[in-house]
Formats: sequence, structure tokens, C-alpha cells
Amino acid sequence: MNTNLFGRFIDTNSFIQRLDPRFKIVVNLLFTISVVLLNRPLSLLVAAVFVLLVVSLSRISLINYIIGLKLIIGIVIFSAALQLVFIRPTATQDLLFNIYGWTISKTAINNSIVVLVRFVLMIILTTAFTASTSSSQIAEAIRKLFLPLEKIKVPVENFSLMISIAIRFIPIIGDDYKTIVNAQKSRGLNFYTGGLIKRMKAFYPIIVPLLVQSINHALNLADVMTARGFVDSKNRTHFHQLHLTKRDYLSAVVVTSFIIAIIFLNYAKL
Amino acid sequence: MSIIFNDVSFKYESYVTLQNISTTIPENKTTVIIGKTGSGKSTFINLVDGLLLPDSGNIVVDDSEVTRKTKEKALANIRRKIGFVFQQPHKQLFANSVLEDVSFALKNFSMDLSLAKKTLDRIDFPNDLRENSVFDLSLGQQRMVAVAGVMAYQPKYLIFDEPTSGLDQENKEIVFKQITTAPQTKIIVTHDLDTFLPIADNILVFNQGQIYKQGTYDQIYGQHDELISRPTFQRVADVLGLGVVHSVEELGGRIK
Repeated sequence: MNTNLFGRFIDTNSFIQRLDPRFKIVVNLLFTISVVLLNRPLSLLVAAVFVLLVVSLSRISLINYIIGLKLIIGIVIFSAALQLVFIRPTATQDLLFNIYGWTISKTAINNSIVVLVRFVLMIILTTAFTASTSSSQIAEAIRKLFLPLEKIKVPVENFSLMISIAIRFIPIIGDDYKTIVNAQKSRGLNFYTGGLIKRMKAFYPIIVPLLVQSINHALNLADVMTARGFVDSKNRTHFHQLHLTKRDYLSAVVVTSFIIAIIFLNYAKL
Repeated sequence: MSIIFNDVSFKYESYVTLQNISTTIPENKTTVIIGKTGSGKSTFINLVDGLLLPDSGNIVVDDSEVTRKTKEKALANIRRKIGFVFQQPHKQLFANSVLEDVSFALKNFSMDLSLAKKTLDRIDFPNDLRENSVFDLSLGQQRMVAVAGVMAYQPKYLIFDEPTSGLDQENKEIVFKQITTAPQTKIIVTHDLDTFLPIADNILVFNQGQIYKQGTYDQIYGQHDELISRPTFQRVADVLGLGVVHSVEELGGRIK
């Protein structure tokens, strides 16, 4: 079954799924930072090998990741295309085309390809981790990672509860949105014709009821939580208990090796 | 003219929601659609209004055809003929006043805005509340406003998705009166069998994405003599998830 993975958790009991969610968040962050620094084909190739390894271990078909890319392909291509607009030729030999004063250089084309590849790798890796991690585990992982900040009086427990509830309500708000759009469309609301201002105004009958519904959900939830004894996030126990295992330590060695390799290949004089 | 389904199938991703549906919704009649949750009722009415497009087959609304390839502009023209009251209609309210919300569709369809006041008069909506914000109204009043907002533009067909769900008896009766006094062809999806089956000219019983039975009340539930052995009645009750039928009472010529 080919599915759009964006924002979804797919239960496959894969190797990636069984990794500690904190480990996955940290790896994702480190990989993203590393990839942003890369501009050489060989280092990007090794980064791609790493991503493909993660994809294969996620037990989710690559086709599903590609379907997920369709949603943001516009932004990715736009970012890549900006390179063609803003990067000027560095020398005469660098110039490829000159179309009525708009110059396109080999450097610009290289840069746009690099930007495209970086985006695709980052998005696929993030998707692999989020598709392999439930939202409650993500919330718990964020809570645990930021827990040391409690020492400087940052209310981490409250923030992580907020994140957890927000994630939980994304599909509910999404359903409300669809219902409201359908209701207004059936009363003749038109998003597709007219100028930009008219089309923007057409969202007013969507935004207002959606906000009202969201606030109603929040108020109802507050009542329900209070009725079930909630006072504050402190001193609450937690459903998920996270423990690092041998699998995580071994994966850490592999990930560290890959990151060192791609950084080395990018900056070493080869 | 009427609404005709010709061998329509629809699925959400890989889950088949409706399968080979062929039926006609007769004009100037009340069609009541019943069935268990998840049997395909809501998908069926969303297809009527073009909010979903069929994967195969076609739907004909009067002389307009809806297929997988129908464009948004053609669907907008079809929606002009259909008034759709959703399951929680108060969720669609957004305007600063009741009158403004009821006028919303009239503005979209370039119709006479005085129809908003006339519609509110017809349903006896209190005058002193018409300039109030829609969010200051009670749930029952919000539902009245939402229904009025659909009736105001005088569509040819009216679709109601669970119109009485969550309402107390008093508000149920108000909504029931709004529905029964509307002159249009009506399609009502409901679990409230006691309220709506007695007014049904045509009943569709949905089961697992298909139309299990279709016809008048007597055709669906059988004549009284058949009920003595009750196989037909019990089979329909099973499809509706009503459990074992222990007793049968005659009520004004109808079987309760």
C-alpha cells in the first residue's frame, strides 16, 4: 500500500522504530547540521547512502517517502531555483547562458543541485524517524532531553505536556478544518476565482469557526483534566519509560562514523 | 429530474467505502438513509454534493453529471442546487450576527439578501436575537441558524446529516418541524429511526458500503403478517445494529 507518510506513524516494528526516540531526535539534528555544510558530490553521496540505509531499516518502501516529498516539492524547487537567480558567474569560464542580461553560471547550477539534494536527504531522514516514532514517544523524548533545563527554572514538564497535547490534537483540528471547508463550499464559498485579496478574504469563514472550535476543544480538555485530578505537570508519572539499549549504542557508533566521514570528505583536500 | 447513482464506487486510500452503488433519489420525496456507523452513509451524501468524487461510475444531479474528472466550477453549479446541513452545523457559523451568517450563501450565489430575513421569519427565529453574535446563542439556536443558512438560498435538494443528534426533545421538535415544512426533495441520514422513518417515502438501508435494502417502509420491514415469523425484520434490525427484536407493536398502522 503506497501512503503519504507526512505527519504519520507507521507501526512496522522495524529496527528504526525500536531505537530510543531521544537518539533519533539527536541523530536527526546532527545530520541536518552536517548536511547543511556539505557541498561536494562525494560527501553528499555518502550522506545519501546513510539515508538509504535508514530507509531500508525502517521497513517502509522508498516509494512512500517519494510520495511524501510531493507535498513540499514546490518549496524545495523554489529554494534550488533561487540559486539560479542570485548566484553570479565567478569568472568568464563559469558563465553558461546569458538570456537578456540574466546570467546562469555553472556555479549556480551546481549550487541549486546541492540545495535540492540537501533538502531531499533531510526530509527523507526526518520522515523516516517520525514515521517510525509515535507522537507520544516524540513528546516524551523532547521532555527528557530538555529536563536538565528545569535546574534553571524552565518549566520543561509543562512545555512537554503542551507539545504532547498539541500533537494529539493535530488530526482533530484537521478533521474540523475539512468539515468547515466542506460546509462553506456547499454554501457557495469559492477559493478558486478572483484576485489575491478576494481569495484571502475567502478564508475568513474558515479561520473563525476553526479558531472557535480549537478554543472549545481546549476548554473542554481543561475541564476533563481537572475532573481527573490534574493540577500541575510536576510530580506526574509517565506512561513511556525510555531506556537506551545496546541497539542505540551500536547505532551511535555507526552514525558517528558516517557523520565524521561526510564532514571529512567534504573538507579534506582529496 | 432527480439524483441518480450509476454503479458508483469510492474508496479512502485502499479502504473500499462504497461499492457499485446504483440508485435513484426520487424528486419531491423524503429519502431516509439508515445503517450502522461506517456503512457508507456519509460518504454517499458527500458524493451527492460533489464534496467527494466517485472513483468509478457517475452521479447525475438533474442533468449535470459528476465523475472523477468533474471540475470545481461544474461542482459549484451543482452545489447551488443542493443544501447540505452537516452533522454539527453550528461548527460552520462565523459571522458577527445571525442575519449576516444566514446571508452568507445568498451573497455567494448573488441572490436577494432579503431572503435571509424571510427565512428567519419562516422558522420563527426570535427578532431580538438576529443582530446577536452567532456565538452568543444556545446550541439549539445555533443549529436553527445553520439550517436557515442553507434553506435561505432555496436549493432544490436538501441533505441532512444526523439532524437531531445531541439535541433535547424540544430542540429536536424544532429541527423536525424545519425539515418537514421545507418543500424541497429531502435526503436524511439518521440513526433516529423513531422520528424519521414515519415520514420517509423512500428508505435506503446501507450495510458495509452497499445498499442492503431499498424501498418504502413496508417493503423494507415487510407486512405485519411477515413480522410474525420476523426473518426480514430481524435481518434489517441486524444490519442496523438494533440487536434482537423481542416485541412488535402496531402504532397507527406502522410497526414500531
